[in-house]
Amino acid sequence: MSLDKDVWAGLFFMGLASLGLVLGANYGFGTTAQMGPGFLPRVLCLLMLGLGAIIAVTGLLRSPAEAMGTWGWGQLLAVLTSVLLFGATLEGTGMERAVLGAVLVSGIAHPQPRRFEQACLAIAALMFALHLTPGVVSGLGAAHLTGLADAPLLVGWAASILAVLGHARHAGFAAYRERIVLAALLAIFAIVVFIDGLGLTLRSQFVLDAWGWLKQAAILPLVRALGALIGS
Amino acid sequence: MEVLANLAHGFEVALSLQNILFCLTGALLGTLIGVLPGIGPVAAIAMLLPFTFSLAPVSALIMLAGIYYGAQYGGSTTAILVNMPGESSAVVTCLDGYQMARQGRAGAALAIAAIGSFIAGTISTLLIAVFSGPLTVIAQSFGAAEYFSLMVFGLIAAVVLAQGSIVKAVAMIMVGLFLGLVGTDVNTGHLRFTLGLPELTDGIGFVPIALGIFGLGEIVFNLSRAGEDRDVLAQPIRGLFPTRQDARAALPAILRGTALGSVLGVLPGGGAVLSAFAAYTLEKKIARDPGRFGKGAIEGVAAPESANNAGAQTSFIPLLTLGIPSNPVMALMIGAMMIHGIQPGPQVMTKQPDLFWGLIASMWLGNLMLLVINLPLIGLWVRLLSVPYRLLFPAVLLFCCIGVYSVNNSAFEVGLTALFGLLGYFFLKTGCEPAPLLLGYILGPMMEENLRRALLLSHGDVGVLVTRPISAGLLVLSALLLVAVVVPSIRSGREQAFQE
Repeated sequence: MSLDKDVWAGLFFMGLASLGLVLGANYGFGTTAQMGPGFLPRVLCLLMLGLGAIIAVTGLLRSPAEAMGTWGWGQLLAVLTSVLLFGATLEGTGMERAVLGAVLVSGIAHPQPRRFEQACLAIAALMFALHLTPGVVSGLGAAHLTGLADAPLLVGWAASILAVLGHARHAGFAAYRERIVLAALLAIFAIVVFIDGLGLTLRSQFVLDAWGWLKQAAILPLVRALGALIGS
Repeated sequence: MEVLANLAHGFEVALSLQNILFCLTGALLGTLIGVLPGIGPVAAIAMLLPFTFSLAPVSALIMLAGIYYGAQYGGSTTAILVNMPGESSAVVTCLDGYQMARQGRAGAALAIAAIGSFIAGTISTLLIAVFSGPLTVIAQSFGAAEYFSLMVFGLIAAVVLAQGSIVKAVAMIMVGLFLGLVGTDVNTGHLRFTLGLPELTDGIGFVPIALGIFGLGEIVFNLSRAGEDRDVLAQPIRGLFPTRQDARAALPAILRGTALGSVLGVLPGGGAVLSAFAAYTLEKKIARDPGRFGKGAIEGVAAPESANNAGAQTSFIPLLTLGIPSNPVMALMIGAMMIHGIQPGPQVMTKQPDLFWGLIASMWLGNLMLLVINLPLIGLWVRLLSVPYRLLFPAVLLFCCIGVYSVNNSAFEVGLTALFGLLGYFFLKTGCEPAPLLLGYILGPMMEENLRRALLLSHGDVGVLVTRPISAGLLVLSALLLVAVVVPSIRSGREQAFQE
């Protein structure tokens, strides 16, 4: 049996109003001259309860019922999970993991996913976020890769977006070289993220130091070179 | 002549290199977002709002205003080229604009839309400058009782003039008012509905609400009915300049649209959408040959485009003079002002003339920029149209996340956004218009404060609301409006107006 959508809306309003009445039950009501904190909440919730009931009843009486239609549960779940994941991981594990997680999870939401595009998009988003963070998200001590955010990265970022767009236009695109370079970039980021996480978990200063040095000495130039390769 | 001196001062502020740059950035970003499918102006502004917090208040508001009319403009571009309104006020532009494009007159349609918007923008900016002075004087004589009644009137009128079921819209206002109650009660310091969460002591932030309901909700909604890829107009656009005949037909329509839009924009609940619909209906009524409409009549593009731009501009009048938002976009602007520590209301004009006149001058500047920059950039916007949604939405989603987080560096608010996203989707599925919720949420705390103050001054006599003439008048007007909608004959007229 499918209920009219107004029934659902009315039930929602009534539920919210009841919640307000229950939670606000012991807020002081006061007098009209000296209103207590509970005065308006109670009046408002009573009105909302009444209105919700009217909406629900008119919905019940309407025939034929206007159903709500099927819910895109999968899409809803993927989008909300992606946002929640971002919020949950950002402060603990840092920007790059939160961004990668959010973009990759949200990709599930689309009915016809394309893995290659999603990977490129994740890289592009990651690089973009790394460029953005120092200016925008102040006080975010967790952006480990910020040191990599420089001009060649910007080129790589732009290039990966172009590759995605090109790929989107003709599904056959993405010449071999771009594909390989992008795959390499993604792999590097995956490794970096993994070892970063490992270092954090182990809390070993030695691992962190050695890894920091390696990032500066080897990975940064490599990423630069790859970025320049796509850019050319 | 004081107006001219003030405007001159405004231009001084707006023409600083920095503010020109922000105005330009805002207009371009707004157009970009307006062109992209599935992101309306409310979501666009909410999304970019956090990124303006670090700017000076004047620059931030100039940029946000730029985003607003940029989005308006971008929406019409997609309406003409692919028969997809970028946002709701461009729905009517689709009717004749797309037909013109199919006849190979896309260039002329785009140009007329841009020129019409510019003319409307110029006239309505002047109107704002002229009328905000006197209105501010009136507003300054308002007491707490008048303010309360004015807000009631604003909310009721917004509901009556908006689309959809009125009972549900009133209930949505109440949900908004309820959300506004959460947090510390200003008068007594008592915590309300915080569920013991310290993050809620200052109330629910309005960025999570706006982004959750207008951003996430819509993303899920779009995704769950995705699958259709849009075909962009294949033929290249040539001949941007409208023919002489086109221009002659369009000019009176532009002026009529501007007049109608300017009036409707001031009304609560008015603004761009209503203006565009009304202007199209008017053109169709007075045309000698109404049969041409829907088959590529240039008046059908010129009038609604001018009207929606004029309406978008004049809806700033109640915001700047009374501190009352007439539509959700203005509610966001109020939120932005509050975050910058500016209490919206009549005192803004006297206390912060830089902000007030600078913003007004920048509106005209922004419109000029849209005209000059966007016509040559049409090709770029068209190419953007072909970006498929499956690439777009993760980026938008990420942008929302980073934006929400950066407001208070709070992961809690990111979670809150997800919750409101769920609510937003529920509202879309049940046909509950979310705009009244945002208005109620913004106005709620102000209403409560004014009601309390009014009743405190009258020693608890509720009669004060009806014995003071202005307050009584406003309440009677709201009651009349509500009654009017319930009366069947007028209701059918309203439904008809929205059907067309």
